[in-house]
Amino acid sequence: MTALEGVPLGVLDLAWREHGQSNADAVRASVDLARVAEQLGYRRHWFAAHHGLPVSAASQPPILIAAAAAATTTIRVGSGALLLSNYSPLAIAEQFGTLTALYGDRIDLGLGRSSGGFPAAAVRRAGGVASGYAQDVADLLGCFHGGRSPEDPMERVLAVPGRGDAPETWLLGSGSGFSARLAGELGLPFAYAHHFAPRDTEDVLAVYRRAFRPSEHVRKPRTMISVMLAAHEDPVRLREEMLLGDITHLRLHAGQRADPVSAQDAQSYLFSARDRAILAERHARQAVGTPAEVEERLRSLLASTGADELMLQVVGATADGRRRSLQIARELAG
Amino acid sequence: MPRLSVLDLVHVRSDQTSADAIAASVALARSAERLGYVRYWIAEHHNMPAVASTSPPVLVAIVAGATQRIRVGSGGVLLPNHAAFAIAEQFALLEAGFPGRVDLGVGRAAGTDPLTSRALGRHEGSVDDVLALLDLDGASVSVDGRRRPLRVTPNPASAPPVWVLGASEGSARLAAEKGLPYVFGHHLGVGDTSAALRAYRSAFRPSAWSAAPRTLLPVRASVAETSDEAHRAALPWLLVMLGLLTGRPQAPVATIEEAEKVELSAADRRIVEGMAAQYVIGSADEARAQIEELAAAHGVDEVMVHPIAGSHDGADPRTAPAAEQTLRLLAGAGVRS
Repeated sequence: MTALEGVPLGVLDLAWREHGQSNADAVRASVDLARVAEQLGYRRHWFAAHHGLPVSAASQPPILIAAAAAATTTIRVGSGALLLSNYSPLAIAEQFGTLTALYGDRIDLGLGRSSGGFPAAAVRRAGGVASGYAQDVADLLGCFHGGRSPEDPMERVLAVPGRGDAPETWLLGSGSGFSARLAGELGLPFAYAHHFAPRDTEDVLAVYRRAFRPSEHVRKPRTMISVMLAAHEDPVRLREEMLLGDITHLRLHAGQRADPVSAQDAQSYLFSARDRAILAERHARQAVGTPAEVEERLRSLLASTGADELMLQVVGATADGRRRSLQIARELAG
Repeated sequence: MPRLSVLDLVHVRSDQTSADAIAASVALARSAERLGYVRYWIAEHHNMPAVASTSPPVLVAIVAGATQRIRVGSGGVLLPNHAAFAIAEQFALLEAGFPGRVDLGVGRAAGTDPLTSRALGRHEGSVDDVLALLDLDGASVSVDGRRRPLRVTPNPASAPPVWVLGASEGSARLAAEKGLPYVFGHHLGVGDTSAALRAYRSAFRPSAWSAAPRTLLPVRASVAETSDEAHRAALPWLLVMLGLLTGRPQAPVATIEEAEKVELSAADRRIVEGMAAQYVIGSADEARAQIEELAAAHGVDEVMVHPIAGSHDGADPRTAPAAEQTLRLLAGAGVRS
């Protein structure tokens, strides 16, 4: 058995908005979850970014990072992911430089390449400077660390704060292997989105390890996988906790608006055969079940992937349910 | 005496890292709250070693998280530098995190050099786009010349008040037509404040945002126990502005002692004195009288103070003691116990 004990754990938080909750309730619950994660000894609390998703308040990670970092003292707080293609690298360097300047070595900048599931053109930066993700990442690292050629005009633009205030920077990736290769070439840590692309995890991590070159950031490949987590001793409670995430997933899959679902509506939701097939696929290879099932899944994932850290995308219809899932995973990891 | 608020540029002194500067601003915001200031706004400037206020939304979250009551806002977010959609998301989220305490001040200029402006991208979002995105019904926004339907999350069930910031009569008329609160950049010293405020008030149309014209007057201020000390403390910031105006290599804000060693030509001196004449510089009594006079002259009930006073050598880098003193003396808490 691969050792689960001692593996660093993180939380991937969508800032779920439950039915009947105000936005303020959702943000408060999310900040509370970061406090819980800190008390339980989690290493990181990362905020996802979703545009136009009514069940999630996590549209702008830097704002939630500021709020959560202020409410905690030791846990690392970051983005998972900050969708770099939507912004100018300079603006992101300034935002994360500001957070790092104040909170020091507690801030993580996880970068993603997608647009966040919304008309990309609406959020994308303007001005015809888009020159591809690899160039954006290089520009961003240049803002933090310098090292551009003196002739590069960008060398005359100073990120304040930013230069000298670098967060720990990770590239996040999924099935294509593009970000894995880029992270390897740049010598950056790499986090794989197993929670939504669980078929290619081992292959893409291999791409990363093959491409890896030691750098000032990390000397050896450093990997994390994000896994969906829903754990409860009672299968009935577990099912209830998972309904919100499952129904949201089905609605998004069908191209519908994903508004918060009341517990009553969730209970009476009728799942078609097709729905059940979609959900079976969604839960496959994820940490969903009783503590024993979750333990087995996490051990086998660690064994097959060799990941250094686990980032748990905690799904759950209630704050209590999400907290219980985090407790169970923490107990398993010793 | 009018109500008082603060405009912070997060000055970075030569003896500070940007981390120190932000810590000093957080401490300054806490002081402002304790002293009864009503609002704490953070400006947006880029590519200046002397200024760390590059990300107002993040700094608003930081300052609001460190205080309890004072209103916190951007003064302002500059529309050409960011997608309107991202601005709306950020401020919807700030309003959710700090309900009823957030202001969204927007400016229509990029306010930076062409190279930085290119690095930030040139966005075409308008004040109209921001207002529409902060409406519960969602908006259609111009993207690459086409209109697209959009909804912001978290949904702006309660949106922060939008203030238009400007330095021209054009911005005054825009704010008036939309029925929005308005700030004319009086502290910039580049336009006719009276004319702009007259245009704003006469053209104002009541709206869901505001039933009547609403404005405040921003001023730069250095206030100390004596008028002499206030003038000494103003010099470091005046040198930053001189450098900007004359295109010299930029540096962090000098300490008072460093600033006094800088040799100025007669032409430089004229520029510095001209700028200083537009600032509020003096003892508590002088400065308070000047602020009352300005408020009365422009018919405003709120004055927003950009505390520009620099610090002496040896100040604790994680504080801004002279800026703090400016706020304390203006608030009428003048006599040190």
